[in-house]
Amino acid sequence: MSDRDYIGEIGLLSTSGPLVQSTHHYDYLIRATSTKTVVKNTVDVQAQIGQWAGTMAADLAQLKNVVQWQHDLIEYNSTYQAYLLEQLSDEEFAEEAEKYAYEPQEIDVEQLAAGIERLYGLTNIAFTPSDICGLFRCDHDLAVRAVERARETYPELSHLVPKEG
Amino acid sequence: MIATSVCSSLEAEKILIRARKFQVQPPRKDPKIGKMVFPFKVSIFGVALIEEAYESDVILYRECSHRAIGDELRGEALDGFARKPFGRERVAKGSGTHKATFVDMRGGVYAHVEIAPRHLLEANSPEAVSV
Repeated sequence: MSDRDYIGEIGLLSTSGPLVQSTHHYDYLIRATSTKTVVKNTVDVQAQIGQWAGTMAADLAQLKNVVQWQHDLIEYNSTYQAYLLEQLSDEEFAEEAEKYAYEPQEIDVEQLAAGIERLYGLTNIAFTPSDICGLFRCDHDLAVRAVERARETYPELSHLVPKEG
Repeated sequence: MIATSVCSSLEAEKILIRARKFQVQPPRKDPKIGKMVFPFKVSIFGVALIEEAYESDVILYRECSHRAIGDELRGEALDGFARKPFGRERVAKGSGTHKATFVDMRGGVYAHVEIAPRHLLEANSPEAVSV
């Protein structure tokens, strides 16, 4: 008798799925309450937890990116203030500014739109296309196109892009 | 010519910026221009006014940009960049009730409407979201 048949026979099986495909035939997580018992293959549970952890890691990376961008912005602003107060010469300022200068990267518009949507979902802040440029280090026109896609999911972003057509 | 629609833009040798909030942004190496530019962002009744136009042979960053002396952009938020670091901001009377920040930008400037003026947004005007 297979492990699946055995668990089914004793009335514990309440999930469907690739139980018998497990390489660990007798590796199950069983949750029992007074009204219900759920049996889940450990491999499936691991996969689900892994997927959740992956989403969390991507969100964390996204938020770290925001923190890094804001940190750079504050640092650059301090440098600019020092320049305006004549504590830095033109040459010194140009040298400092060079450290913060980024080169816009080629990013797939769908990928960027997904990033904008996720960021809006996480923070509820409607970052403008110029914010998106700094945050994702991309070209302005690309940022506008990506916000246009993202507004299909979040109509709240409509005021940031030209009307369709 | 006063432009208020999202994504309308202007370009000139010298531009006067007026707004209640002025923010500098970290520089970027613009591939179209081939050198470092100094981006900015303004908000709350932002205005960009051309004070000195480009020579006629200067190729624009965006072909449809306004370029004549006196052309003006208005928006709740504007963004853009200058090819040289900006000068010091000054605060002066900006309207009947509020002061505003004024910044002179020279050496080639691009400005663009990011969010249409507040009164158009509040009125849900199609102009607020059309070019």
